[in-house]
Amino acid sequence: MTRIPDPEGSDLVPRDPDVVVGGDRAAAQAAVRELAEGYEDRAWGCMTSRHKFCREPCPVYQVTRNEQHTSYGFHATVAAMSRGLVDLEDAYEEYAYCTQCGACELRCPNTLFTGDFYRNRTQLVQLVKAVRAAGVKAGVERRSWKRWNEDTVAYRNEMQGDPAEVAAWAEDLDLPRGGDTILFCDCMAAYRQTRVPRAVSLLLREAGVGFGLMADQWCCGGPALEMGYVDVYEEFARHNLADWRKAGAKRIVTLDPHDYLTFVEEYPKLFDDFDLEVLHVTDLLAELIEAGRLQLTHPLPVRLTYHDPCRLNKRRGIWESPRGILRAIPGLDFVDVDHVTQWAACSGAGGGLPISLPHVAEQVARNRLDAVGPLGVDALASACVWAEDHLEQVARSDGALPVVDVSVLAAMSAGLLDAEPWLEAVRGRTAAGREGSVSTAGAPGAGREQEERQ
Amino acid sequence: MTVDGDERRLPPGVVEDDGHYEVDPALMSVYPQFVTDFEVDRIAKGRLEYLYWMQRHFADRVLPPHDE
Amino acid sequence: MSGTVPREAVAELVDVCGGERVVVAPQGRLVRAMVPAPFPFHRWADEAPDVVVLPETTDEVVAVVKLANRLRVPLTPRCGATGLNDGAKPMRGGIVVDTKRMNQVREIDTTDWTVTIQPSINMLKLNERLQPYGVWYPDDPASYPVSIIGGRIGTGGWSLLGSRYGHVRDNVISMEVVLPTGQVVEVGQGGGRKVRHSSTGFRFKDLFLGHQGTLGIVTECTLELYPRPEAEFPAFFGYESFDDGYRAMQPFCRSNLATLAGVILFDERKVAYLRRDDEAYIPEPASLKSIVAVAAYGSEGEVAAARDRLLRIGRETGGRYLGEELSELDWASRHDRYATPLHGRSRDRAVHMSWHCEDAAITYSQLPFVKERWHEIADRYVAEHEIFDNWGMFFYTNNAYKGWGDYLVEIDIGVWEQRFDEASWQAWTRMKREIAQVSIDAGGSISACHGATREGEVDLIPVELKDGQFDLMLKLKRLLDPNNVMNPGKYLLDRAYDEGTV
Repeated sequence: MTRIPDPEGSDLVPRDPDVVVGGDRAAAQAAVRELAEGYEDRAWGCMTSRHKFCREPCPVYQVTRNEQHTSYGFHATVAAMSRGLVDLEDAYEEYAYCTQCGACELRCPNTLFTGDFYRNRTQLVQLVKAVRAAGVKAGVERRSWKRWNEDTVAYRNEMQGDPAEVAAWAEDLDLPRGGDTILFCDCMAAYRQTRVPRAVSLLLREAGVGFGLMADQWCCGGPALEMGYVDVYEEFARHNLADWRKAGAKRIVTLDPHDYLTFVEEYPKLFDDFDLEVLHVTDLLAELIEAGRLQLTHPLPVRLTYHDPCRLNKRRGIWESPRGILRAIPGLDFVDVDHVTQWAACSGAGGGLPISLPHVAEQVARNRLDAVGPLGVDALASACVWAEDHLEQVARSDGALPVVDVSVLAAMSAGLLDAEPWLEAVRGRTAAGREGSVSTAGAPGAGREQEERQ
Repeated sequence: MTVDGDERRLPPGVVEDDGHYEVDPALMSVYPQFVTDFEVDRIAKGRLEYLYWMQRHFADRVLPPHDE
Repeated sequence: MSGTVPREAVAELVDVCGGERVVVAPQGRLVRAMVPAPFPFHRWADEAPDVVVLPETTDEVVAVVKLANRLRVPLTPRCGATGLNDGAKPMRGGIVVDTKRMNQVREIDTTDWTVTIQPSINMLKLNERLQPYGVWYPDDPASYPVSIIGGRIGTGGWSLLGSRYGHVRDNVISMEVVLPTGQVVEVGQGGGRKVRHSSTGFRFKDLFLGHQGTLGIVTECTLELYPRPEAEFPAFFGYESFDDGYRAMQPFCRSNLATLAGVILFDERKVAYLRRDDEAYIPEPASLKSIVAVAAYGSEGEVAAARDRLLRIGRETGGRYLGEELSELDWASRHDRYATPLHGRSRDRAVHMSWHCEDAAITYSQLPFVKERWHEIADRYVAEHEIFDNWGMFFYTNNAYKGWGDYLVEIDIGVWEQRFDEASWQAWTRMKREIAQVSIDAGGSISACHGATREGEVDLIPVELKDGQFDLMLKLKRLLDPNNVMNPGKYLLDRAYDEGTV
């Protein structure tokens, strides 16, 4: 079968200028053959169903309402490519419309009702990554992603931050390097949302948990893999693992879900001998609070709700520990929206979406913030610095709802960070009837300027 | 296991693994897909969570089969 | 069947909706060639529409329809595209009008209890929006979390809770429809958008409920609201034969309980299918051959009283109550119940099969006849072709607000679509036709709720509707769609344009 012909007038419909088609036809065709080998069966698993339960929970579909941007659309397109009806050069552009949040994988009835019975489930995230990678390999790619990943390679992090400053957030904290527990800091947390790693460090130290930093932390490599830049990912992963081995690490503690997911799901696929324990900070903090090793005694009289980060809730089933932390904070009026309702929620920050399709990513964030509106809360808590940063930026132009990380809240309630400035800012914004642009916790540089308990 | 002499046995094509049912892998003709135990548990848990969520979506209460 | 849209039409579509909402990419067209009903994938390229447009307003829909008329370009409305017949499947290429961006809630009226929406909202999402007001829109098909109200209108859908809350045609009060000429009309009960019952003028609303997108495109609708149920009580009862289950069904259906929402009978082939790979049923004993499932919704006192009577009927009919967990969780899954592909068995191997769901409307007295004939047909084709599988039958209450009368009769056939070629596709359509003919022979109707546009059964439309109805369909089609642009070819309505027929 051959590619179906374009209708007359198809030149009148503009293509996405972000997509460049380099490489040659042969490379693209070879890439499609490889894709078909790995994914054609999976594509049919979805196609034979095509009931599209994946649709309503999809945060990107909620914005575009275009069925090409759903698990069904992505699978159907692979099936069509496998039959030669669509070329990779045509299809590639659709696959940016996904934050890899995992809602569709959870929700698909084929998975939900019988995935365990057949040991067979919808794996949309792997499919999207595979198509993106096939594009990159065949010279079909997005300018925006290409540039982003080139910068990440040059800077060793996603923030285009000076690599020598990757641990500058910890300068005055006197943290050791190496040891059997490594705290992995995440690029966004290291350079911008610095309150978060500071809060986590203070909490762990308070609880008597020994940990150290890496000798030379590079980006986890996860985003590169999500965007299809496999070689970049592998280079970064190898570096990080070597650093951990040299440090004598047995356990990695992550404070961001993107890193957690990468180390738990991807590193073991790349490294046969990957034997390190990976623990996410919310699980660790909840455990410490339960065990009485952290006392949260300072009240935080704020009404807030919690956004489940996709890579914690949907991808890894971690939704209890962040709520456990919030419920341990005295004075907090925690308006919970359950984690199943939140299968349909997403900040829009993941999967390279804000880089390639910023207007779509912004609308996903607006939808998330709109859902918070009716709850009458003064702040939005989460446990993902990328979600928090993105939501915060979008919120600035629309109500400026304060966004805060649960570990920062925990540190404030433990008396390790001064809560007053934040509480004042939250109160001030509420009193002003949501007017004005009050700086929110975690704003650039803010973390370094906050006073800490002596 | 029998109840009132009424035999309960696994239907053909089904195997049991620690209280959890699966299709006999020998019957699977599609690509072999390794779904980890973590994922199996997550799917089973997700299903229950989802069905209870759906119940709450439709009605405030589900009555038990007897007076309380 | 590409090649029916001239350049001029694409240029005008871009003018009307902007380049971002016109899709010409091959993948965008191919994914919209089909719906869940079995599809001839061996001919996928031929079935693709030429172009897709995603309008956002009534004015844009009017402009698209008018240009299609002027340029004689076929167009096919596509709303949810989760239906089980071929209403949204384009038959002549052309333009697919994908209305899913028309998803605004216009008004929630908490005094007169209506909600007015653009059509492309899903019921679960709408009800989440309505929940804070203590009301809901009670349309509950197996596709509840995914199907879309515009499509429910186009297909004239059935609700699992119809015996309590009615079906789609009972809960759509009025609609704005863009006719195939581009004229916009309001249809309802007279002229008042929120009036439920009137005798002013003719009743046109029903015409546009189940027309399969052949008579126009819904661009706005006003819907009925109900108080949110305080309580629910589901119960599943097991019987040792289909006959026992069939006989037991009657007292349940005639119990005349106002809160009784639905009664479902499972035949022994369905129970065997469930015991093959549904966790809840695997531990059930071999003596379980048939099931009757019931559910009640309403205020707590009413539902508690209904519960007591339903449990008593279960006992008196010799049924075994299958327990709280199975009853609650299986019922909860019925709002969300599609067949999963790996349930397909071809010569005992699990293969990916798509799902054909037959949906005849048959009276109680004819149920055993239809069951016997359908299994004979299905088993014959299964024996001869490795691409089919018989997944058993369901019988559901079909009468609005009542449990008696007629039933939605379903046989589920697995189809190994990946293996289709022209010969096996023809075998499929022959099976489909044989099955549909039985419904007519039983004095029933080919389709209770999906629509009867599918290949194999559509040829029987003039047979079932021989007593003047098909003739009226042709007259009305010709009247409303003089240029045959709106979903042309569907329902054999091309005959309206043959010389001498109208």
